[in-house]
Amino acid sequence: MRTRSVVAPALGIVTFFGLWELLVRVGNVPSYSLRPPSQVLRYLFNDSTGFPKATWQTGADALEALLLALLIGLAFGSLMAASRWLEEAAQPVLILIQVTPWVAYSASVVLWIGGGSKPVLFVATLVCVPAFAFASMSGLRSADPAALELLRCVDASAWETLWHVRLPNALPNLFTAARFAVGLSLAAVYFTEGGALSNRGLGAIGAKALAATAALPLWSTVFCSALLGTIALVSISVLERVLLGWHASQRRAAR
Amino acid sequence: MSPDNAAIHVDGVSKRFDHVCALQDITLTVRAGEFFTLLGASGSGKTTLLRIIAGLERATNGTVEIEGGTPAAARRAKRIGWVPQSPALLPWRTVEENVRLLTQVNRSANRREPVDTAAMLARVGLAGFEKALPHELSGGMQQRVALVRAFALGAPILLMDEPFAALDEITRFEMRHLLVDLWQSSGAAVVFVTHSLAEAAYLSDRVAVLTSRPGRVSAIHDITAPRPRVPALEDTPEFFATVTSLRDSLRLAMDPGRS
Repeated sequence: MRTRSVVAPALGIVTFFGLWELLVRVGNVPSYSLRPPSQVLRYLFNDSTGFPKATWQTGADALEALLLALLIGLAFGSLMAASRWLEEAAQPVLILIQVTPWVAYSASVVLWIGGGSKPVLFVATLVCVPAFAFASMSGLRSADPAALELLRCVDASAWETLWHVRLPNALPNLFTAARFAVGLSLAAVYFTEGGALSNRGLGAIGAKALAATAALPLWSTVFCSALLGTIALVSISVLERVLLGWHASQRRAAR
Repeated sequence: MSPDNAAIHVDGVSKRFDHVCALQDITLTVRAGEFFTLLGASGSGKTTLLRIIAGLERATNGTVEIEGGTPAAARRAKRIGWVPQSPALLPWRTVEENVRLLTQVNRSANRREPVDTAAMLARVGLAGFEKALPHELSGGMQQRVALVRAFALGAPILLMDEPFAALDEITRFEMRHLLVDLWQSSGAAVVFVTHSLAEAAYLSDRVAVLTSRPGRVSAIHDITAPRPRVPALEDTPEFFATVTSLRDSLRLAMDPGRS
C-alpha cells in the first residue's frame, strides 16, 4: 500500500518524460519548437542565468494574487451570504469575470495601469476572485442550522457566529477553490508578465524567448512554472491535512 | 400577572402557519427548578411551542415571559440552555471544545463561577474522550456531549427539543437516567419535548399533554414519584400506572371522539 503510493506516481512521471524524450529524439521535431526534457534541465542548471530570481518573482506575485483574491473573495462571499440582494447583484459580474478569457484583455490592462507588477497582480487577482467568492458564499451559508440556532439562544453576535461556525464550515470549499485558483493565478501572472513590458518574472523571459524562437529558455520557464504549481499544490495539501483533519475528505478509510 | 416563582409563563399563545393553526391558546406556567414535559404526537406543535418560548419563533398571539422578562432578554443574559434535536456538534471541535462553545460567545453574560465541565463529562461516561472529534463518537455519546454543553452554561432554564428522538431504545433508556442525574444537581427548570411516554413518566414533575392540529393543552399530569429517581423506578407498578395514564391521556388528546 505504502510502496504503491510512492512507486506508482514516480513510474507515471518517468514514463511521461521518457516518452517525451523519445518522441523528440526519434521523431523529426524541429529544435525551435520542442526540446527533450534532458536538454531543458541541462540548460536550466548549467547555462542559464536569472531563472531563480524570475521564478521567485513569479511565485511571489502568484501567491500575493492568490491571497488578495482569497481576502476579496471572502469579503464578497460574506456579503453575498448575508443578503440575497447582494448575491443576485454580484453573481452576474462574478460569472462574467470567470467566463471571459482574461488573455483577451490582459494587454489592455497593461496599457491602462502601466508596466511592472501592478497589472500582473491586478489580472491574476481579478480572475481568482470569483472562485473564492462562490466557495465562501456557499460554505458560509451551508452551516448546520441547528448549530446556528444554538448560538442564537445565547445571543452570539454575527461576528462570533461567523468566526466559530460559518468560517470553519467554509474551509473545505475554500481549499477546493484554492486548488483550482493556483493554476489560474500562475497562468495569469505568467501571461501578463509577458505583456507587461518589464523584465520581471518567468513570463517576461518566456515572451522574449518566444520572440527569438529560443526553445530552451522558453521551455525552462515552463519547467519553473510547473515547479511553482507543484509546490503550491503540495503546500495546500499539507495545510488541508492540518486544518481539515475533522473533515470526511481527509479521513483515512477505516478498512 | 405570572406567579413569583415562575421560570416561564406562557400566556394565550397561538401560532398559525398560513392556513394551519399549529397552536391554539396555550397558557401554562413552568416553576423554577421544575422538570416540565410537553408530550404530544408529531404535529402537535410541541416543538413550535418550545421555539416560541426560546424566542426562535414569533407567536401569532399571546406572550411568553421568562423570569419576568422577554425571551430575547433571557437569551442576551444567557439564561437559556438549548438542546436541539440533533446534537449539532461542530465537527472541527473536540468534545471539550464543543462543550465550551457557548461560553466562548457573548462572554459578558457568562456566569461568574464556571461549571466544571470535565467532571460533568466524566459523569456522563465521557472521561477520556475530551480530545475526541465528534465523528469518532456514537450517536448516544454525541447527544451526551450536547447535554453537557447545555448544562455547562449554568443557565436556570433548559429547553430540550426531543433530544433523544434519533437514538435507539437502549441508548434512550441510558440517556434519560444521565439527564435526570445531571438535572438533579443543576437546579434548572427544564422544558422537555417528547413523544415518549417512558421519558415523560421518568423525568418529569409535570407533563402537559398536547392535542394535535391545533395544539392545545388537553391535560396536565403531576408525576408524584419521589426524587431522586433511579433506574429501578421503571420496574415498579407505580411507574407502569403513570405510563398507562399518560397513554390514555394522549389517546384522548389525539382522538377525543373515540374514547
